[in-house]
Amino acid sequence: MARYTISDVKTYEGDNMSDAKTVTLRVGGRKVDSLCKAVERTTDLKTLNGLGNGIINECYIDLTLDKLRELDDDTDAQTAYIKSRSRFLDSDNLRIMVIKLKLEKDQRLNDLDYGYLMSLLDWSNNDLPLMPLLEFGEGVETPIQLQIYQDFVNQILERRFNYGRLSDIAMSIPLYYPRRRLERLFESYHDIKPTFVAMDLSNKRVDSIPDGKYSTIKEYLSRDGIDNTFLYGINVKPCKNGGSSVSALDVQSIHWSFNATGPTHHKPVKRVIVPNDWSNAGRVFDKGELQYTRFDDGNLGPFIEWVDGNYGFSFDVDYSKNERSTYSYLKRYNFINANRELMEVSESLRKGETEVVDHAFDRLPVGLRGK
Amino acid sequence: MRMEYDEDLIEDILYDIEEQECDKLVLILVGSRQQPMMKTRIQKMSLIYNQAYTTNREHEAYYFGGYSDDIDESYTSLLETGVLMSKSSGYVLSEFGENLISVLKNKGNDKELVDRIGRMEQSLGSIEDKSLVAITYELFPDLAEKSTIARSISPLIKSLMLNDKPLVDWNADEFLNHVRKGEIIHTRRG
Repeated sequence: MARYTISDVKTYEGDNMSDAKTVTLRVGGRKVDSLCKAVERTTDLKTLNGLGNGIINECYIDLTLDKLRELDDDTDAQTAYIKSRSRFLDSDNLRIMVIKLKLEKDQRLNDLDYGYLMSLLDWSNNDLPLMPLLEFGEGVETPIQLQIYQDFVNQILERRFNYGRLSDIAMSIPLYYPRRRLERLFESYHDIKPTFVAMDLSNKRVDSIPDGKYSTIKEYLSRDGIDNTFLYGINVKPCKNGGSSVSALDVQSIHWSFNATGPTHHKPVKRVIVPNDWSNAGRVFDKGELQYTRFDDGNLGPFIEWVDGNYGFSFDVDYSKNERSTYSYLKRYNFINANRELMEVSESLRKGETEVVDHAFDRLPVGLRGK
Repeated sequence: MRMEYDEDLIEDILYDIEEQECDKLVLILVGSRQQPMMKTRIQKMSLIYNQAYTTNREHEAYYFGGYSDDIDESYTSLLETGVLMSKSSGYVLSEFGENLISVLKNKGNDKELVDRIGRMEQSLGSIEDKSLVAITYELFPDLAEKSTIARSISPLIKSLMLNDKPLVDWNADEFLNHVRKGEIIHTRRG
């Protein structure tokens, strides 16, 4: 019996080439009934409460093979490790554990390792078990990565019968999987026919993935006329770096069929020393244009007011006078506003209206509208 | 011993790369150079390529001059998928990457791209990375507007000679014509 269900499908039926679709994803008493951005590292309880429940709480567990072996099947150690990387586990949001296991060159999993991994996946707070992803250390070439991942998927699928909660494990697709090999990956899940599929973008933007990959995934998801599907993006870069105003591609991901996207987990490799002023303080989500833009006279005031209203202090318009970092507050401000926009789109789709989606689509750069 | 790769798999991987202009460009740029290629050089060479041959103006003014997020994503993902390897703070092709290039070179579709990059490397190959940065700052000044290192590059711009003529006396068209023809540009400090 499927542990998760996807229902209440409402698809965009306007004239644009948007694949926007809203659904209700349910697991037990928890549900996600709106397009959304998943909880981020900077999200706090105040921000979360401001949205109400109904979004995805991604618990991103990255670990090395050595760490997996260190945890073995000690549930206390596993729980401690998971908790060190997750938050709001007691909230009513739907918790999805995204495990990314890093294998260095020449490292391979043995029987015991698979046991540890299954035990981790079976963690009681993991509402929707998802096929873990594998990441590789440098020097592991694509053919080897594909072979290892395919064997890994087969192993997990075989072992899932020993863990009742994992019987309908959802599917994950690593970035390195070529489009023309996806069929084999889907075939591995033939007896599950997963309707929840997570695609790892590995810190790329949604428009950086070859269009053909989306159409292939969509084709498989809609096979046999099934439309109750949920596409989740892992490790999604929200917008382009560079440029002053750039498309909010995290929100615009709805046109590529995404029902929800998670935050990026890549850390910047290089710190850049920039002038200490608002124009370099990060980008702010512009709801009207669906862009991320640099701070200016128009958007600075509302941000300062929002921080004041929610946290009881004001940032100074003279950036150099601020003692606190603006980073986490800006991330929360963007998070709540982007999610509100997505909720509005969902509401519009449910009513069978097209205007809000059309408005969003029209704000895509021209080159992306024929996606 | 050279590894044997499944030809179908190489075709399948190339199928995706061919849909991604930036991936292809980075792959061929790195493959055209005999030594490790730094990120900065990949950014500047792709900028010059786009200026010389395409209407693509994806490079934007950023903290280190002209920068393309697409190119950045490309070398990162080619590294993650083992097509590139890091070496001496730069990138080189892995054995698998070399296999991909050799198949790509034999394909009619990309022959022009390979030839153009070959000529570009012939023209600019001897120019060191910092001088290449200075050239892009001087010839494409719009892309240097946000730079946080402009002040440190400025003395080099003033003193750099390209084929015995000061960089400041060159214009973009003249430079790009040399690149298109594969005419060697050598540099020295004046």
